[in-house]
Amino acid sequence: MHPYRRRLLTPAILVAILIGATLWQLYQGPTARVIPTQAGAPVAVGDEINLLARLIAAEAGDEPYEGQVAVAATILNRVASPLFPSSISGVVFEPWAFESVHNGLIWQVTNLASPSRAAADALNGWDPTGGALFFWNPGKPVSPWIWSRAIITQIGNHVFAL
Amino acid sequence: MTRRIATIVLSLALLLAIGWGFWERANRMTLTNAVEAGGQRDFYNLLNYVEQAQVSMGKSLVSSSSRQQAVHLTEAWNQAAAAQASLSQLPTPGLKPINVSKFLAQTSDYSNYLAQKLARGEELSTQEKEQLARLREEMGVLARDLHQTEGQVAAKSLRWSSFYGTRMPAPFKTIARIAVPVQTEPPGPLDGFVNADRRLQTLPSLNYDGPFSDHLEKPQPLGLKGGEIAPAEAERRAIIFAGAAGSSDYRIQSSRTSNGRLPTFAMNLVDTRRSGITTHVDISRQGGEVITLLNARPVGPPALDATKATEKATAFLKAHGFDRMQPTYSVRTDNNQVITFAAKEGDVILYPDQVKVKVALDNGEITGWDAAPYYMAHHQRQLPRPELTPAQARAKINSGARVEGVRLALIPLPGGIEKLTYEVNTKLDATRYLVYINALTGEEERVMQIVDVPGGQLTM
Repeated sequence: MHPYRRRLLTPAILVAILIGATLWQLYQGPTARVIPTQAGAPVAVGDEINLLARLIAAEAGDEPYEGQVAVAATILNRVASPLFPSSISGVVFEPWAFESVHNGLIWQVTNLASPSRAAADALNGWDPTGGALFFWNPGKPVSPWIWSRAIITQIGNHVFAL
Repeated sequence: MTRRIATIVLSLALLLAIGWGFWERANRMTLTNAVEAGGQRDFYNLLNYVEQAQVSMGKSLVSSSSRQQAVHLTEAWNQAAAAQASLSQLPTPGLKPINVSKFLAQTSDYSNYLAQKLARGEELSTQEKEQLARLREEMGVLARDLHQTEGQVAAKSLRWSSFYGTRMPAPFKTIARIAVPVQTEPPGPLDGFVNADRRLQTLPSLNYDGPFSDHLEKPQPLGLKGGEIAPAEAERRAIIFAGAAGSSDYRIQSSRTSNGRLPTFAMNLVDTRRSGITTHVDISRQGGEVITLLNARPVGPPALDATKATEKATAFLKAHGFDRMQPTYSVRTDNNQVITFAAKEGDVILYPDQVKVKVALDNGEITGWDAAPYYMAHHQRQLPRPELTPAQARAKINSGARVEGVRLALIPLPGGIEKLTYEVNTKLDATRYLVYINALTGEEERVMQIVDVPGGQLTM
């Protein structure tokens, strides 16, 4: 190859990358992903079941079924508690309450079959935790404050507490 | 020639990169401003609602007309609730103001309780007025703490949006510190909240007939009798129960203890006849009763209808010693029918003593059991004799509504109270309501609207 042409190669690649990145940004738009309006099959209880199912999928998608019901029940226990907002959407979108809301994972989950069933069971009254208000993964870094809560039990990878 | 081309291309690339950077920054600023606006809105809403609630509580204290008192207490109820909602959406990282939240929710609930009392035609007791005055005072101190924060917000030393953002890696942070030295740490922006939360933690407990009353915080199960059972016994009972529910054989896969409202042995069981099917059973440690069963099996297309499912559930209840249970509501979720049963004593339905049974509509097996409400509430009661006749209760109903049935029912009311009522099944236009008329005083205690959901039905 001619030496001058070789010298051109690097800036050309740079420009190509930049143009590519710009086009990609424009294509994606500033709000990277489209938020689907319907989550899974409609179930016959409550308007907020889709939201609940999404949160379960994002927070406990790999947990056993019982652990998924437990997470949903914890949300519903929060709704009934004076320490937390009094609606499901209020509890879910409380700042920093759930990591998956903070990092956007809640909008990316796709497998909602089992979470939808878990949400329905929790809305129908099942609560494997017996009144938990908090849950966390003991393997991940969490606020030390959380360990001061009275621990109820551990289901799968989550510790549940009052 | 080629060198010049290279220079032009490189300069263009640099310009593009700079342009892109500015564009990204503009985007980020738009988002930051939106987040800041959200934080500011929640903060000023909180401050305003706290101040307004304090004013409303003061007005109800000074007023001598119980009608005016009720009006102002209703305002305080809504304002305190709105303050709590705003507080909970405020970004306060590393600080969870749960005591402030509890204080606002309780004040709201307490105001509601007092307003309802006045609406019933009763007077507020001196003690209740003192309690209200104390809460009002606390509300005032809270407003002062929030004003301290407001000063910082107005001076722009507190920006809600600054709490968001990805953390800079440590080496870059050090470089940034050297490049732009930070002035002395500003006073903690959230000091106002920290102070308020610490102070409200020591608030004396508030007992009244409402859902957030302190005496309801740790409910004790009333329906469990006998001593603590051994884990082996719990496992034996779980295997028998799961086997009966699924018409199959189960073995224990894992077992643990759970210290919720009803302390239990929680067990996961595996079906030994059908592969891949697991179920979960909770057995109470005291008395060894079956609290919950939950089978995670996905259910196929239905072969049974709701009536058949209710028959299956009733038979299952009978087989487990629940003889006098009445189905009250039935709802279909996915391919499961969830039937709510309430206990019956004589001809009185006891709504607090509730058991839910879930039936899989593909083969009729029991896939869910929830007796937690039953064991929390069930006890030997001395039911009073109704003073009213069903016809008298019927006469209390709004003349525009069509009455379709009357029966006696014991209902739970906020504050852990139970009342004997006539449950009057009425229809106004196309909407069904259950109106509860106190069987002793004839007062209307409660109205419930039956929301029509697909597959949901009231079973009378």
